[in-house]
Amino acid sequence: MTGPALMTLAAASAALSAGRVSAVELTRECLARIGDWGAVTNAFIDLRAEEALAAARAADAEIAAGGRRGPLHGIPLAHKDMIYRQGRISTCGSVIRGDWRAPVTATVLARLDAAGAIDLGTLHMVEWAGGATGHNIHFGDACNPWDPARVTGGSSSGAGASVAARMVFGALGSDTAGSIRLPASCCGVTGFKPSWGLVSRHGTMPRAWTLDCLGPLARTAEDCALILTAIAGRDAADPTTDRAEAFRVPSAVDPAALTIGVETAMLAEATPAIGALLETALDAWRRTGARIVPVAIPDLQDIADLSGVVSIVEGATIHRQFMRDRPEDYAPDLFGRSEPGFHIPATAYADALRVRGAVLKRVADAVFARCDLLFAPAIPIPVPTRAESRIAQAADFARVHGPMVRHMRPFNYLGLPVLSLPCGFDPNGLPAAFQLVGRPMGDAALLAAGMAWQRATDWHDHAPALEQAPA
Amino acid sequence: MTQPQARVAEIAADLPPLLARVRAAVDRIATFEDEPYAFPAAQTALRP
Repeated sequence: MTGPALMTLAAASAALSAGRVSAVELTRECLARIGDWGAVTNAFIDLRAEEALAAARAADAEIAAGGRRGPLHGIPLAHKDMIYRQGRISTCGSVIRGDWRAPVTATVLARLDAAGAIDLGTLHMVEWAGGATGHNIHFGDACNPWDPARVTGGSSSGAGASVAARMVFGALGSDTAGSIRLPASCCGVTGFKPSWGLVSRHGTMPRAWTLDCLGPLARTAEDCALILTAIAGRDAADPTTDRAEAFRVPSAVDPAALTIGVETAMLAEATPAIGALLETALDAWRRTGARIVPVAIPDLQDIADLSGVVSIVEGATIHRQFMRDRPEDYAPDLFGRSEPGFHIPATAYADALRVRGAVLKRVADAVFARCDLLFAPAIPIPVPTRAESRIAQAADFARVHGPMVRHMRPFNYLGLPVLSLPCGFDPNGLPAAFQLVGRPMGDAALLAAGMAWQRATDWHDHAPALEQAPA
Repeated sequence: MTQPQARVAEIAADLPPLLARVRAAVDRIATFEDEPYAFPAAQTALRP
């Protein structure tokens, strides 16, 4: 494979700085790939080609005058269609917002604009960010570029597909119960869910305030770090970021200095095929010199239950008026999963919130006293087909969606930073991944470890080919 | 029964055991002084 769109964000940025490529060339390359892959994957909701080219020309002029703003200047990105730009439609994956124009621009988009990134448009997502697969009855399903018959993962489905097919150099998604990590895992790209409170959510669609995080999907951990550098940090419009510090791309870490804890109970739940890939990934870590030790997250079922209560109640609260006024405009399953939130006692919700700090301390004592980072499966099953994961009846949700989110959801409740790193291909030729979990607010150290892993492996270099993707 | 009704019924049936488990977990973990605002403080205290 050749062509500037196939470079990593970091490499494209270096090429821009050296004058070997222009922002217009990068944007045209991305647009050409969107032309090839867009219909196959259904990754874009609103492509803004002319605006992007105009921004690229402006970036080139500024760079030529010696004014390169930083590593994202002139780099084409696109973002999940729930990250608002003032005056533009943000569908949030629902017909209810089919013509709704955002009153504000999200802080993260304003920061990317200030960094000079090129915005190619908005990306497919699951309805209201409420699903794990990439199905959407309003906009059609997102399709995995490795095999369009299979799911992209969700809810940041277009972000996963567009980064994997090299239509963009990176994308922002959101993660309430795995919605960055699931598409990153299914599509074979790198996804980063930051610590809760590191990245402002101002100007984005809420799914569950206590759990929501915004973060990047890109080809490498280094690329994720470059995007995070632009978007992370304190924002007066989102008080949860009050403690956030400015983020810098971390310096290299020696893997031999790392102790990685393997969550043995989660690992045991992987199917044999996925388990073998995870063991291979652990062997690769061992070859870097990292020490591998078994660990167990205490209270794992409790964490899942507490997280579930928070998620169901906050989701129902956010959607109460739309559910009352326009119930027919919800996918039946999403409506059905949201309604029980109205029947959970306020004391149960408050309990789930008030023990969150204590639970985090228990996990830190049990896990991070023994290791620097935690290794866990991403999705413990092979990437399912779109047909087998379509929810036709209630039992379908538990059968496919349950396993997909089971190992993701706890880390949202704990507010921990998590990387999803590709580590091979399942028997169907679809990507598999593991999660690497950092200490509370240990985002920089986690990304440094991910960068070290990707210096020692090449799974992140694999890209789907169009001939692999039958129409 | 429609699909949303079936899903609501299924989750509604799950609610009592879910809430019982949450109560048991909170009884085991929580202290009298625990409050939601302790979480950001714990994050900060535990940062590397």
